[in-house]
Amino acid sequence: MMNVCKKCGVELDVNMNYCPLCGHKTNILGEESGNNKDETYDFQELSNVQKRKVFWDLSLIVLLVGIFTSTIIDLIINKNITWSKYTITVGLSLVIHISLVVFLHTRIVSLLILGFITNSVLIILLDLMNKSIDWAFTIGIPLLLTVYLVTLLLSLIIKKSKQKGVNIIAYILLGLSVAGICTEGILSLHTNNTVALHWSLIMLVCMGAISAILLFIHFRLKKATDLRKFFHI
Amino acid sequence: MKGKGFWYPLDNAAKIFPAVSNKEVTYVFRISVVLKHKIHIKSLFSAVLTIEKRFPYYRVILKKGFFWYYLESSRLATPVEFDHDVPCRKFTKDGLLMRVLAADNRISVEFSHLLTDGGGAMEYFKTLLAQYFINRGIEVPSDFKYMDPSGKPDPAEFEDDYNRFFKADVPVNARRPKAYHLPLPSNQKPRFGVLSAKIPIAALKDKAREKGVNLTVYLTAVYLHAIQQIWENPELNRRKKKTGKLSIQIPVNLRNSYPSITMRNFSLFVMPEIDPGLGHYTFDEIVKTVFHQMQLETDTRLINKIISRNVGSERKIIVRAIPLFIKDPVLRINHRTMGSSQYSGVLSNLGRIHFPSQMLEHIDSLMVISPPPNKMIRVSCGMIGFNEQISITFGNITRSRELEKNFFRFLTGEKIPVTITYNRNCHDECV
Repeated sequence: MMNVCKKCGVELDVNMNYCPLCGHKTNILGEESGNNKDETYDFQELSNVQKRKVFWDLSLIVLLVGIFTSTIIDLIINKNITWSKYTITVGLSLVIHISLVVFLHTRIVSLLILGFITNSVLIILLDLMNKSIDWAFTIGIPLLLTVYLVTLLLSLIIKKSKQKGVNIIAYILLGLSVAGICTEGILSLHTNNTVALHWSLIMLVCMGAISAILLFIHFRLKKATDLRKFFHI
Repeated sequence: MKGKGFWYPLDNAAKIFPAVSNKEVTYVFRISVVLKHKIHIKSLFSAVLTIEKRFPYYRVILKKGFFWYYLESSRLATPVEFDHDVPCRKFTKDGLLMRVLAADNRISVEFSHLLTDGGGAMEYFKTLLAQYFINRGIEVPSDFKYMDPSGKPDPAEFEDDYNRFFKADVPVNARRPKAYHLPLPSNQKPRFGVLSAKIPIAALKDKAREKGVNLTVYLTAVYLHAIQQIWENPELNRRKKKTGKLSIQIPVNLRNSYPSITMRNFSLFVMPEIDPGLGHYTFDEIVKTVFHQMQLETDTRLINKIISRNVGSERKIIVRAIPLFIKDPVLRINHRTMGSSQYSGVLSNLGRIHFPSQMLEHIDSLMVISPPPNKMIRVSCGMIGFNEQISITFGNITRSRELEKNFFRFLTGEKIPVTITYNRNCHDECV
């Protein structure tokens, strides 16, 4: 009897367990694996999109149950919403973050912008809930903006890099140095009302030197481009 | 002689494609064969591997230079893929610019126009099919011509023959006026849909003979007639002003006019046209005008003139010395104003293959899909003849099948039997 792939319809040799064209399992293997089916079989069969959807569903259930339970416990013990406002806020923020990662993982710019907005709102809410702290606009959001901008810049540079090797480490180190300068600048502005840089400059020099070595190694190791073909006119 | 690790500049026709191609307008075309048996996948893989070395110029990847793009040899294996997606998809940046696809009874090859035209792709396709048949134990008689997979490629197959046959002292061709473009509404992405039909050659030939013309002229006239019907339909033209002539771009294989064996692009276009602004054309009048225009435009001296225009502009030092990042947007604008705007449709005829009976008994049909048309042209047509059949395939990025309907209805009105063989991504408004 002819062994035909059920997915792409091509004819296979009898001894083929997988279709080499589409990767689908043949009947023989399907029957064998059907007898001792393991727990993870169905999940592995899912496409990446389906897997992400399952992960999102599960996360949503766990977080919403957590929020609901903590609120009920708070209401029973304190007859009011007291500490549970923190679990509600953080829980909802996590729901938004997980949704962003699941649905926008390919659109890095939108993901980071929406992530920044969500975290900023979270910081402001925490600030408003706890009157003893007042750091959202002076420290929290500027630091957050630094982290997100550096991450955005790094992800764009990495995406554009044709050859990914030690140059990526160099870019990350340089990104961290920039983040360090911004952090020290923001903190000193908040505490001393002036921008004074100390440790972040030392960090920049060290990281810069290491990055330079890494970039040199990367581009020296890269296959030498034939200038004649590159500049052919 | 091209050894290992060779590179070469894009040929004159291919130079524009990297600048103007995108996810929808890919400049990728397809040749397919539907067999009467399920594809035996091991034999296909083996055939692809066997013939790979015979076509080194197709085992290349596109690279960006400072002034021009170029093609560089690669060790990547020819991809053999499951044919389940939209036809003629764009190739990835780091991959080869050709692929083999298979599903059920169908084998297809897709080529980027960066590599070659229909003439070169057809040689690869015939060789692949012959090798596949040999692997399956099917006899391939010696009268079926294909390239010997064990042979060495001739250096002339690597040649850019536009450059070879360029004559510097020929006056350049004048720019053509803008043509009429189909006012049909664009489809949603992915836009590209395909409709293919099989027609007996004998019936078509009889009709063409009645008019005293060949098949290409007859079918071009049917195409122009179908566009004229759209031009004359007030309902379809209410959103757009009707301007320009109706003009069809017909690629001509220059290997038939010059002593060339290049496996890269070597074709030019003739553009027969009618001007319905002057009044309605009957079908007989269209046949007559297309016939005379084709006679005039396929004259070798006129072809020399077009080659001179194309290659001459590429050779200008000012054009050559502009860096690629400036050249790309300029080429894009140039393509829009001087390329697509000059014609209303494309009719690409890959000629006719004669399969010996031993092979024919395993072949159901052949199909050629022209590259997906851009938003200006909207519908393109490819055709290929094999033995007693001709396969006509329309590629369409609109929601309407008005042009196909007009085209095939005209043929059936002439008592020519039309059998629809393939229909993909057909939307609500289809016939």
